[in-house]
Amino acid sequence: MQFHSVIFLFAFLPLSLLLYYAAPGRAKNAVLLLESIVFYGWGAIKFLPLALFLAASGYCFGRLIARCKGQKPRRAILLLAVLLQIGTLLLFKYGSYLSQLLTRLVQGEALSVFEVLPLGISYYCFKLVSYEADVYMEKCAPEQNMVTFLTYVLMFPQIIVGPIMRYRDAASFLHGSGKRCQTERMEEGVKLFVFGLAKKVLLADAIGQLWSEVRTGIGVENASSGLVWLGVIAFSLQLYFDFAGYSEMSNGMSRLFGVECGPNFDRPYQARSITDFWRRWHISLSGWFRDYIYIPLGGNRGSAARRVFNTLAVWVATGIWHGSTLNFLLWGLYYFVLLNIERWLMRHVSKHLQHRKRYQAVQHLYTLFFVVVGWGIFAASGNPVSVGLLLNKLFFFQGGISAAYYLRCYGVVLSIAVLDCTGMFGWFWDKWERHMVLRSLCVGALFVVCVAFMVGGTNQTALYAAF
Amino acid sequence: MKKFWKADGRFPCLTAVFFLLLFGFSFLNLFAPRQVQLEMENRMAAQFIPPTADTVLNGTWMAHTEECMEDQLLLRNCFIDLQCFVDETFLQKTEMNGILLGKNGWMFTKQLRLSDTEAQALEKNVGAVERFAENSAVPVTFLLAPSASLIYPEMLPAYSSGERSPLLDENALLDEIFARLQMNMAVVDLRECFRANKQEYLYYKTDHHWTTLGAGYAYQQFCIQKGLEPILPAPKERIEVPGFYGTHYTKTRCQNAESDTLFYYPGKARMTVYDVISDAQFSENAAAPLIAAEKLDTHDKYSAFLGGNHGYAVIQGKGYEGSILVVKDSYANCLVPYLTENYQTVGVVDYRNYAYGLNSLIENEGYDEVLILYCVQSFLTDTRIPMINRPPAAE
Repeated sequence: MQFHSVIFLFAFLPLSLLLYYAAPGRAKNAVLLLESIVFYGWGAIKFLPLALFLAASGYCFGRLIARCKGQKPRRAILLLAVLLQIGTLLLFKYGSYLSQLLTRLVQGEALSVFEVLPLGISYYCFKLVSYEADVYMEKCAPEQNMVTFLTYVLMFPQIIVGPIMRYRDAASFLHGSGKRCQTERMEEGVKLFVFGLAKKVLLADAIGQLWSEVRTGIGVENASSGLVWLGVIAFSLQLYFDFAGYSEMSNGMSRLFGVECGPNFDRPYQARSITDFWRRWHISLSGWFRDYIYIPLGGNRGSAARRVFNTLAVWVATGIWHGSTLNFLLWGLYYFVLLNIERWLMRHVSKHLQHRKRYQAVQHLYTLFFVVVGWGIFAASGNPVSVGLLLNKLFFFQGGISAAYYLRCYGVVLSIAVLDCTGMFGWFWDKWERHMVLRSLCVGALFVVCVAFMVGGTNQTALYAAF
Repeated sequence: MKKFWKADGRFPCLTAVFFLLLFGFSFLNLFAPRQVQLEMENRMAAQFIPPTADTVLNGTWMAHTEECMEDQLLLRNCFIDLQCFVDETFLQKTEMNGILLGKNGWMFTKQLRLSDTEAQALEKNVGAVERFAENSAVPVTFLLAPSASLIYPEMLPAYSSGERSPLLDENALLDEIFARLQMNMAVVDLRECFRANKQEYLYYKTDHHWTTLGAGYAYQQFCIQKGLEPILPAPKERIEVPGFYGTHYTKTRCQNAESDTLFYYPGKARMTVYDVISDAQFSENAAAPLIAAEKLDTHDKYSAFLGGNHGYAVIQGKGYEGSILVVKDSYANCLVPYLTENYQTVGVVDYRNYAYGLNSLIENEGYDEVLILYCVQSFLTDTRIPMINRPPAAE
């Protein structure tokens, strides 16, 4: 069940909100947990026991770590917990490869259990590790109530695509029973949810058709360089609107359930450097890698070589977290190289020029260029598009199918997407702060159009079913 | 209550509008009339089924229930219309749901250049027809109807035709197929005739089929190829049925689409529809007219021709040319009535509802010749065509 499905919007969500609002303060977490279990079971019932087991193990490890304060086994317990959770994640992410490898060696049957990645496993495993590490570093007290903890880990608004909210940020909301349904929070929640839905169904899905057609319909090998550039730009926009849209829906729903979570995206395509881009893109994941890999490895302290190694570790982890094919590792290394170049070689140039307006435009263009090329590497996950073929098409100009038709067909939607990336719509929204009725009508109309696009996506005329 | 919403001194207008839409629509949807058929989509609507332990554990019940919610949603058609309106008017899209929105209300099937898989499927179909003709004891004629986009390229959306467009070069494809097949069989190439008569109403603008007039030109070309005298009904006999919105329309739901007018010639010929039992074994199911008049009142008017697609049907004609077996897709449905003027018996096989080789059928029923008639799109995608060469099942 996805957030932009009919069943979620017109059955699960209203029922969940009604039950949650009707439940007394003390029972709210239990109700939210129950709803999250139903939500998870609906989409991936066979992985529900695994999710419950890992979440329960996190609760136990947290309490054990806290109980062993000042004792030797404390570190071992943390390592065991991380090994269990990250090990399970790696097993599912790379299990099918290992299984196929073993199958070839012993000529047996591949294990089918690893063929599907359990719903949300990357997100809830990272939540668990952040919780255990925070308890270990005494940044937060362990949760005493199992129901509250399971609610934090499995909360359905965050289970599909995060954000990876820290327990220390969520605890105050989950413990406060009386102030959850504040109108201001709900207003913000509604706005985020509808805008997120619009980003997903009006922009991401529409733009996604362009890249999908270039990739699998006509094939990158038949496309001209111009069309491949257009396709990769479309993919960059699709990825942003898809992910940011889902994150906003998630944050919006969390607010409707009384939990506030910081933004996961902050207009990343307005960044003026690669470093700035990663401060704005998938903020909860970048923060996780910084706090639980980069800083524990030493962070900026130590020699230059050590800092480079720490950055390498983070980017290798970021690459393989996103996917199991080689292009994701390459994509991680690409950012490792770019960030190091930016940090060590361009610092002096930036210092002198950063306040000049013209230079700011160059900074934007430089960032966008490398980010879009990066998304090209990200998208080239093997068959039918390899990284080599894609880069060849991008940088050695070649003829082929022209981009003209796609510019005509997708021009308006691409322009709207680009304008949204500049923050223009947000600026208008802020301008209308006092016009609540106008704002409400806009959100209502946008919601109806989103539903129309959701339903329109299921319009399947059967050419040969009846004649 | 006042305290609840007056946290910042303002009525939570945004939340109220959203909750009204969310809860109000969800509540009303509970009482939405159950749909059996989605007429605009030519398919049955999914129905709610009770869960069982197995279907819940393997997830099929959940998937089915999601599909039901979509199909049974209140105002489903209005939402689809709204999406098309926004796409067409605000987003200025030139294609929707695989249909190109051309000039002057024309709609065309979007056929991209062939992928490797499609090229392999095409090769199988061409090879199957070639092999069938080589081994056939009776003469075979092959008729591949060109797409409307090939005859009316000037009506395509901007930049969608030409050497660097993403669309299939159908002209080159037909050249290739015809060059290969005409060594073993008679091939009817309609391109020249259709281009010469393109000012006439050859294809529906809102549907993927040719019109009865287009089929009539195809029939005349077939007769020329076979050395027959085309016998065309008098124009005064034709009956027009306005208000036809075809499959292209139902896929796009364009607000400014103009309806097509379908026409037919009423005749007295009767068709016997058979149930297929096994290879060349049939039982008589029903006798029916060539035009199922009751379907002209439904949305899917084209299905009036031959009453839809039957696995095997036989029509007693008025002609003296012996018998012909037509192996076909739905394009043939409005051409077959013309053939009854020349042939004594017209057999019709549709491989969507038939799964045996043709040799036993030709031998048992004594057909004198075979016409294989498809449109380009079906010939590219139909994976059942190779079944024409299936050997008879062992007794």
